Amino acid sequence: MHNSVIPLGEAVIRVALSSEDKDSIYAIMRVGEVDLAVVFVYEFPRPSPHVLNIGKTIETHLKMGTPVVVKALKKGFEKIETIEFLRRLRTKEIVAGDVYIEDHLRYMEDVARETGTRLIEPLWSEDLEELLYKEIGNNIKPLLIGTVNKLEKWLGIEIRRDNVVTFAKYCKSVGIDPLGERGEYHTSSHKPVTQR
Amino acid sequence: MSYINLSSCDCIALSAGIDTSLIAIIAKLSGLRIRGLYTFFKDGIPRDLVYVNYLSKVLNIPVTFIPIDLEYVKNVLRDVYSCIDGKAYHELCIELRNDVVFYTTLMKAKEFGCKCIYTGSGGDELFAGYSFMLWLHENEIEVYREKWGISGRYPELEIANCLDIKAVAPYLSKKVQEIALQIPAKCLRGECFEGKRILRNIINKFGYEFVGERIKAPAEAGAGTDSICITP
Repeated sequence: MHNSVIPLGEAVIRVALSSEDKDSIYAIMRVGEVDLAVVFVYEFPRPSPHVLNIGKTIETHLKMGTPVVVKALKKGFEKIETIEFLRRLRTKEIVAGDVYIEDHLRYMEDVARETGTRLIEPLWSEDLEELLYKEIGNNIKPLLIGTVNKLEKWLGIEIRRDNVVTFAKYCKSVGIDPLGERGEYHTSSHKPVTQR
Repeated sequence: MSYINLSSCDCIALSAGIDTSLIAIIAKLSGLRIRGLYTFFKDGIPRDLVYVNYLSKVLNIPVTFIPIDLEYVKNVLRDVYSCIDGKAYHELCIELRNDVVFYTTLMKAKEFGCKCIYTGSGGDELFAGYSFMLWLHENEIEVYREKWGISGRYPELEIANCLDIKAVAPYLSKKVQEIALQIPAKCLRGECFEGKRILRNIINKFGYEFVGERIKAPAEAGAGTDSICITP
């Protein structure tokens, strides 16, 4: 529904909204290239795992060849500040890694409408477990950097080809969606490094 | 490696930065059973937390996470200051917000009965880890390394002395210093102007790129105390 191809040579500012989690990284990989990754930092009573991990987030995007900017959003003004920021960047397209949460999609559609941009959601409607396997199959190595209590034993562990099935089974056994779309876990998805 | 084998410490002040990660990896390769200690400011943003968690899991090192708050910092600040004997090297509050982290880690190590504890002291000086070193001319880096890598001041070692716990700094061993200083400065700086390239490559070779490629976080940022600035 949202993924379409931009003709080569057309000047666009394609912005990926990313927290360096496995889904946003895979969304970037799916669309091929983005001009800029934007990391929005939200205010929480406690620092979110993604704030703790901001250094790795910047590093990962730069290694993917994607410039990255970080923007802190004030509590209560998140949407308006997101819109203003994307306008200032003269964004033409937004890439996001939502999969099934309708509220998230509607929020992104509002942002796209307000900014006059096209929304690209390349992962939307994918089968959750299949998507997890595809991500791992594409050499994304998500490391769990924050989890709900039920997944505590997986904290600090990298999901790889050799443990992804066990992980997915474990998630299902404790009643958690294996993709963690509702924030059941957060990942850092550093890409494989080319040895220098 | 031989130095780490010889000292055989059972504890490590683990920040999971480049220096302590490599020590932890070598200690594990040497078959040592070590315990990690990581102190962090719970009201700050402790950037090392994610990496410490990771290293603990992949190396199977039990880590004790020691959260501290502002009240605690205020309470121990005078003791920390007396330990370093007023020899603040940087601006006082910047030094103390680092020192309070080591003080806490070392106190806890003593409480645990650690035989000795590894620290990453000297890694930044010898292998060009400080961000300001990355912009220096190669000759200037060499001068800095020789001066500070050999005879630098390491408050964490002063604090260990003060608390009467044995801290072992492998990077400050004579053999490591000699080898390190033979490595040309150009080999220490990566193509993205990151420091300690040679140590990073070793870590990557063992398969731990997540720490091997991490962006430099000064000690106070790693522990999250960079958001405070108080003096006794």
